[in-house]
Amino acid sequence: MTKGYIMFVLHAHLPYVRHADEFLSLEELWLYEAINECYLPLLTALNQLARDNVPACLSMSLTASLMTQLDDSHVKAKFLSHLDQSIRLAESEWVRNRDGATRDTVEFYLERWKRHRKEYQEMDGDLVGAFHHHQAAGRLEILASAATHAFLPLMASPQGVKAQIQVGVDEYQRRLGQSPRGFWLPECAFTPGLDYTLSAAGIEYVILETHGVAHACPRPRYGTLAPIQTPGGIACFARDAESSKQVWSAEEGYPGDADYRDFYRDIGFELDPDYLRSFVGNDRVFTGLKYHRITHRTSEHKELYRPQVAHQRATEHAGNFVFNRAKQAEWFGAMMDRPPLLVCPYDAELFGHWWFEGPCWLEEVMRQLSGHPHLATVNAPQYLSLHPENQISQPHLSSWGYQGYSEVWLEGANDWIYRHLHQGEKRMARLINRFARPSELQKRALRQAMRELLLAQSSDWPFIMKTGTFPDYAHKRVRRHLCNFNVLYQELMRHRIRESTLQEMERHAPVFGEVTLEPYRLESL
Amino acid sequence: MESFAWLALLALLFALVFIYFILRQGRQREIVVHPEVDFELGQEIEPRLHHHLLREEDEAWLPRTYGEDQITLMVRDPHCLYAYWEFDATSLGEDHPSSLHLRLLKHDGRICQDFPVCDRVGSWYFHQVTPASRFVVTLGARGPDRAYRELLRSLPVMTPPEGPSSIVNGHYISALWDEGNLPSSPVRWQGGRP
Repeated sequence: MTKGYIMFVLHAHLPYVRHADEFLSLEELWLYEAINECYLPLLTALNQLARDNVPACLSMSLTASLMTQLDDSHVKAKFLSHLDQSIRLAESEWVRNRDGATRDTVEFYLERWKRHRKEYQEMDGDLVGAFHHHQAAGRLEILASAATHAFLPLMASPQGVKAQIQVGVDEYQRRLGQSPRGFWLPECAFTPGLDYTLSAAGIEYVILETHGVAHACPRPRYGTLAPIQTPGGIACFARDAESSKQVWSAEEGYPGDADYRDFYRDIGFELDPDYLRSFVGNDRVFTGLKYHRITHRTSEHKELYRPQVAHQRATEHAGNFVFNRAKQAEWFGAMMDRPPLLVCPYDAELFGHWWFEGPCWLEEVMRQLSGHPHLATVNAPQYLSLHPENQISQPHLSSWGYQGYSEVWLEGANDWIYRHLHQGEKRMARLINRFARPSELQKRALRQAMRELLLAQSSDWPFIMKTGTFPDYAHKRVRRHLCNFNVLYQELMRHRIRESTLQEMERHAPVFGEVTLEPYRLESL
Repeated sequence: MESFAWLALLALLFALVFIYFILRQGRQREIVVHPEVDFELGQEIEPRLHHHLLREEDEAWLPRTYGEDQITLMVRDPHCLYAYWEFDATSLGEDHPSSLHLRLLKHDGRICQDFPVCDRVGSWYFHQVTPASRFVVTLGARGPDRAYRELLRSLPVMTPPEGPSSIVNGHYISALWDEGNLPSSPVRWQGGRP
């Protein structure tokens, strides 16, 4: 008898970091690291579950900016070239360490990367198609998201919000050939009114941070253990705080275990730059070759990494996770007239990239849950078909960022962007409504203006400005996209479009195909 | 009759010159084409005094102002709001104010915070505001008579509540969801720690 449900949601997103030129930028490495360390291992886990007929049930969001990059032939070619370079470095490392203690670990990486290259070539680099294959088989529920992951509560206009949602939905339909039922709110950020726009776009459900549901009005009868229905007609599922903590927490979470791979001890920062130069260039970068385990979080001394031991640890942690969820379901289920639902949303990039053993852990959790007597995995549509009636309640502003609201994306380091972004929304509306019947060239300029504005709105830029990791890059990107937008605005208003400039912008940001302009039309509201 | 025609012609000429200068002034204020990037730029009226100034290279890319009088209020969290504004004081003409004032009001008109600001283009964080309340912000001027004259008004915003709602309906499992009174879960973390 089912005493509780678990819903896993992985949120896959990267900002648009594709560079049109041949050289490899440092920011593009984020994407290639994510493909090699996260998306391919997650696909491997799904393939293995499918091969063994394990009835896995996962949910995953793929943002439009990520899908457009994964589907880009230029990106695919550059990723393969990057992977080849990594393999050459691993081969060189094998020679260097052939009599050393790290030889087995180098062999482990070498074998893994060669397998990734083979799998990637076999699927013709079509990662989105590979995920879609699991969706078609019922193992994976894919959610759409906002076009460029904008923090929707901080946008100025209903048109701007509608454009982010509609372009995200359109891209989903274009690349997956079906309409999304779920929508990943960037940063889980919700504000009243969003539900009406989402509902109009055909969306049925979203995921909110714990207090997004717990603080809704009237007070949700089942707290965060069942979804609520907003007045706008969207089901809101709440993140389960306890299961999140076990995976997310830097202090208490599984990824901090002594036997797991240490992310920061990378040979890219340890070996002689002259030796590394022919493989990675002049910059100090992560190479993916990491030979040590965490050992102790606060100590500089690190023991060597042992992949088999780490794998065993991940299996134990999977058992612990399932055990704890069963206890949770038993405890809360006794107070409810339906089985409690535990929603476990995580950033997909945590799995494999930051937490190297994460995909292995997830696969093992799925295996253990498949034969569990009291727990069952569900996705949101399955849950809603089992329990279609849910309490109507109005959530308020919330997000999963620090302190639970907008503070990360609106503070001293990044607040300067909003007057420009908001003005961009006004100008976009002005343009669209001025050019009711644009010529072909005007239409191209309008579409590129839309693309540039969408790219400037990504929540990643204010986040990076706040965290201070690559603030110059984030500043540059916001400025560049807004500048391009302003140039196009000016040229359109003066009826003086320079095609060469437009072509150059299109070459640098060929996103979202024939992107819709409709959301900014006044009559579309 | 002839002198009347001359007078009318002179008046017409005067009116045309006047209109020309008004339009020219408006256009100068509204559009300045940057030599490098050739897009609309507003004029910087006076330097911003905040710590989060746009950096030097930013100035080459983005307008400092947009030539539109406006004020916007945004919600950061249950206790904090953020406002930014742009106001061209020269439009007041002879009525030039002695000082600009920022005023935060509850939706019922009650004044919560009121203080002078120097910048005609600026921003401000309002801390210690009340959760679950509706606010608007206005920018106004105080003349020599100290009377407050509203110049700009934002759209209203609503701060979120900081705790669970006191409104309940239907059956409700109260033991679960009183924050701070959450029953301790039987779950204990059992994984190995270093």
